[in-house]
Amino acid sequence: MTLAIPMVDIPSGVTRVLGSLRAKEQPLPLESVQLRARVIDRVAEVTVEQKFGNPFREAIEAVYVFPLAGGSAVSRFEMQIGKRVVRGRIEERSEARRQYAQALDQGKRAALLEQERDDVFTMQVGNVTPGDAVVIRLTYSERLPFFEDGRTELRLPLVVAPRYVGGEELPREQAGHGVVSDTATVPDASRITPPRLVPGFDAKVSLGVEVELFGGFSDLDCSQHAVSTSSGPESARVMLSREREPLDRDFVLRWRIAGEEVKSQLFAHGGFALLSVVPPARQGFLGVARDVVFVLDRSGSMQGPKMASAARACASLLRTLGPRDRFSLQAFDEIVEWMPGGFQQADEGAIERGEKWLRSVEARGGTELDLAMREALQQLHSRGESAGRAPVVVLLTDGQVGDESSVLKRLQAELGDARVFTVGIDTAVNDGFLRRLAALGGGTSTFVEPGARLEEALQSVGREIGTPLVTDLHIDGEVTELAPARIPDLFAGRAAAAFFRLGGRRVKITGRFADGRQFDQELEAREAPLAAIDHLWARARIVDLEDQFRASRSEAVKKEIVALSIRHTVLTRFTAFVVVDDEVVNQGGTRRTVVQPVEMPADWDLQQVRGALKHMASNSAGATTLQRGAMGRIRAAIAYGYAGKPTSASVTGQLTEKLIGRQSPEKAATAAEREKVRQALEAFLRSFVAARDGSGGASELEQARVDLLRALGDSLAIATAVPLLQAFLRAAAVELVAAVAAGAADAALYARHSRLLEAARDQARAVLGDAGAPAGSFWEASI
Amino acid sequence: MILEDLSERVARELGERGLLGAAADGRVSDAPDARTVRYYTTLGLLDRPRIEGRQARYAERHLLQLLAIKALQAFDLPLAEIQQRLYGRSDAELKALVESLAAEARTTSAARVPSLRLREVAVEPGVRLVVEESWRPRDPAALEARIRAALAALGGER
Repeated sequence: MTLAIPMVDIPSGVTRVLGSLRAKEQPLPLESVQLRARVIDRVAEVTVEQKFGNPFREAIEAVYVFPLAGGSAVSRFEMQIGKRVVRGRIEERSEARRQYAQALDQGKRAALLEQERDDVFTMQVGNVTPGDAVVIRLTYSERLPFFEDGRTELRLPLVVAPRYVGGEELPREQAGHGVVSDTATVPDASRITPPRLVPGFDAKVSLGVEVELFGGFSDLDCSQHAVSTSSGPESARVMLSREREPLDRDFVLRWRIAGEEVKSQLFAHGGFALLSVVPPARQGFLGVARDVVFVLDRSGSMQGPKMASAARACASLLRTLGPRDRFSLQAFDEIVEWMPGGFQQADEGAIERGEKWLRSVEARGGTELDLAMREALQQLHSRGESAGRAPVVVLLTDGQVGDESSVLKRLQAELGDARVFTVGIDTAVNDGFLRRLAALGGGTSTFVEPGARLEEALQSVGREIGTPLVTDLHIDGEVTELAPARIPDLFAGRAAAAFFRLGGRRVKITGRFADGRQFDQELEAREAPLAAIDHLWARARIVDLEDQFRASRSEAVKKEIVALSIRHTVLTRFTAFVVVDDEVVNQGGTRRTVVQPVEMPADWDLQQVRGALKHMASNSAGATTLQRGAMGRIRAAIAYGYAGKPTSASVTGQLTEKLIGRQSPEKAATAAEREKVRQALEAFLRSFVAARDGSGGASELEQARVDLLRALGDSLAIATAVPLLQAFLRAAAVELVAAVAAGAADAALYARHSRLLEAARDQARAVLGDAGAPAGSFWEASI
Repeated sequence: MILEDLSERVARELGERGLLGAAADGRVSDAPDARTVRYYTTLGLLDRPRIEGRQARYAERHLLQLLAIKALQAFDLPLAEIQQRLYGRSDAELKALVESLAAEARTTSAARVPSLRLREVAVEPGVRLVVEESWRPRDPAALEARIRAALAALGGER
C-alpha cells in the first residue's frame, strides 16, 4: 500500500488557531530574573528581582517555584507596577494565603511568597493583565561560610532540581501546582516539583547576576559561569559576561579575603552580635581513631558526570584516612548495598579494595536516603571494638529528595554519638538540606561541582572528618538569646558562627581541645554596618525552633516561630509574605493559572532517558525494541520523580492487581466504614496526646483503643490495609495502657510509642483517603 | 476515567478526526501509554490526574490535552515546539486547535488513502487473526468470550 504524503503548511495553521497568544509567541509569564548581591563583613545581602508579563489575552496568575540559598533570611518583599511600589507584609501562612486569594477574587493584583524548604520557595503573582509588567522584589541576607585561610563562597541557586518522591499517592486535593502528586512520605510533593522545559524550548528568561564585594579579595573563582570583574575604590563588581545564560545551575563565586589577618571576629550592630570563631592552627595532636561509614548516593539523578565525581570524591576521602582508622562503604538507591567485609582497617590493601568497589558503582534507581541513613547509623551503633573510636558518617549526594523532614527526624532520634558530614555534588545542589543535616549531625557540609578540581576542594574535608579541634564552646559576657543555642564545634580551618544579643562590648569564648586542654579567646566587638543582623539572628533562632518542632510537633514552638517571624520580618514555613495592590484591574477575577516551567539542571545526564521517552511518546510500540540499558534509565527517571511516580515496583503491583482483577482493599470499604474508622482513629490519637500531656488517663486510652479495633473489625478491607495500626493497637498500645495505669509511663516510653503511632497513623490516613496533614497545613510536614 | 479508557478515547477521537497516522510514517497512530502520559505530566502539558483510592483518574481536560499533543505530533512538530504552543492553554483553545488541525488534515489529505494498518497471524491452518495496529489488549476474559461468540457465529465450534 502506498501512501500519498501531503504537504501541510502547519506553522500557519497552528499560529492561526493559537491566536490568543500575542506577539511574543511564548506562553511563559517569567520574563527576567535579576540578582544583586552585596557582600560586607562575611554577610551577603541579596536582592532578587523577578519580572512577570502576560502573553495571553486575559488576566493570568503566574506561579514560579524557585530556589534561594539554603541559609537565607528573607526579610523584604515588594511589588512594582510601573513606577508604583507596594510593600508586602508578613502574616501567618494561612492568613497570607487567604488575603491573597481574596485580593485575586476582588480583581486586584497581588503576590504571595511562601517557603517550602530551606531553599525552595513559591511565588504566585495574580491578576497580571495582558501587557502588564509586574516586578517582584525580595531581599534576603545570608552569613557566608568562612575558612581560616580566608576562603569563602557565595552560592546563588537558579533552579529547583527534580527531587525523588517516594510513597503512596494521597487521594486528596493537591497542595500545589507541581507535576508530582502529594504522597504519604512527601505530603507537599506538588509544591516542590515544577514542570520542566523540553530541551530546545528556549524560555527566554533574561538573567542578570551582579555581586559587589567590599574589602580586598584575591583568587576570585566562578566555577560554573563566565564572569567579568571591575574594581572600584571601595569594592569590586562581578557580573555575568554572557547575556543569555539559562537558569540551569547554581551561580557559585569563591574568593579569598585579603588585606587583614584571618582571625575570630565579633561584629555588633543594633544590640545584636555575630560571632565568628576561627580555631587556632592544629598543634601536632592527631585526634582519635575514626570509624567512618561512607554513604554514596547512586540514584538515577546522579547519572553521568555526577556519579563519576561522587565516586572519585569518595575515593579521595578514603585516601585521607590514617592506618588507625576503619571504614565501611555503602551505595544506595532504593536498596542499600555494602562493600563486603564490614568495617575494615584503613590499610593500603583495604583502601585499594574500596577504590575498586567504588569504580563498579553505577547510578540507577530512586533515592531512599532515609533507608540509607538508617542502615549507616545501625552499622555504626552495632560495630564492635568501638571504645575510644569516633563514629562518623560521610554522605556524598546531590541531596535531591523531597522527604528531607523524615531524614532529619531520624537523625535527631538515632544519631547517638555519631557525627554526620555531607559532601554535596551537583550543578544545582540541595544545599539547604545538606547544611542542616550536617549541622544536626555535629559535622560540616561541603559543596563541590562535578568535574575538575574535586580533590583540591575536598582536601580540607578529609582533615576535618570526625575530628573537631575544639568542642563544648561557651560564651561569657553580657550574652543572651544565643542562636544557635549550642555553638557548633570547631573543625580545623573552618570558622563557626553564632548570633546573640550583646550587652557590653567584650566576650570570652571558652572550650576544650580534643586532647583535653582548655581553649579560650577574648574578643572585642567591632561595629559593623550589618543592617540584616536581626533577621539573621531570628533565622538562626528559628532553625533551632524548627528542629524542636520536628521532634515534638508542639503548638507552643509553632507559636514562637510565628511570633519571631512577624516581629523580625523573616520568612518561615509558618508564615508568608503577601502584597496587594488596591487598583482593581480584573473585575470578576477570572483568570488562568500558568505555572512557569523550569530548566533541567545542567549536566543531568538525561538525554538518553528523554530520547527513550520521546521515542515512546511518538510510538509506544517502540517500547519493546528499547535496549535494556535504556529501560534501566527510564526506571531511574521514573523513580526519582523526573518522569513522575510511582516506582517500577508499585507499577508492577498495580499491573498485577489489574491483571488478576483483585480490588484494592479500600474500594470494597464503604464511605461510612471509612468515616467510622477515621473518627475512631482521630479519637485514639487525641486520647494518646491527652495521656502524654497528663490530661487523660489509662481508661480513656483503653476505651479509644477498643473502639478503634471494633471499627476496624467492621471493615475487613480497611483492617487488612493498615498492618502498622493493627500491630500498634494489639501490642504497643496494650503495653502503654498498662504503663499509664501503673503510673510508669515516662517521656522515653511516649517518645518511642509516638514514633510507632505516627507511622501507623500515616499509613492509616493514606488508606482512608485522608490528607495525612490537613490540607490547610501541609507545611508542618515540610520542616 | 482510568488511563486505559483515556488512551482508548484518544485513539478513537484521533481516528474520527482523521488525525491518526497523518504523519508519513503513521507513528502517532498509537494511543499514549502510562509512561508517555507521565512524561507529558512532568512537562506540564498534561494536568496531574486526580487520585482516587490508589488509581489515577482522568477527565475531559486530559483528553483535550492529549488530543492536542497528538494532533500536533501528527504534523511532525517536535516536542519542544509542542510545549511552546500548548503550554497554559485553556480547554476552549485546545478544542479549537484540535478541530482546526482536523480540518487542516481533511482538506490537505482528501485524496489520501486512510492509513489503517493491520497485522495478521495464522492461528492454525484455516484460521487467521487480523489485528489493527492501534489495538492493545485490555480484558483477556471478555476478549476470549467474544472470540468464542464470533467463532460460534461462524459455526466454528462444530
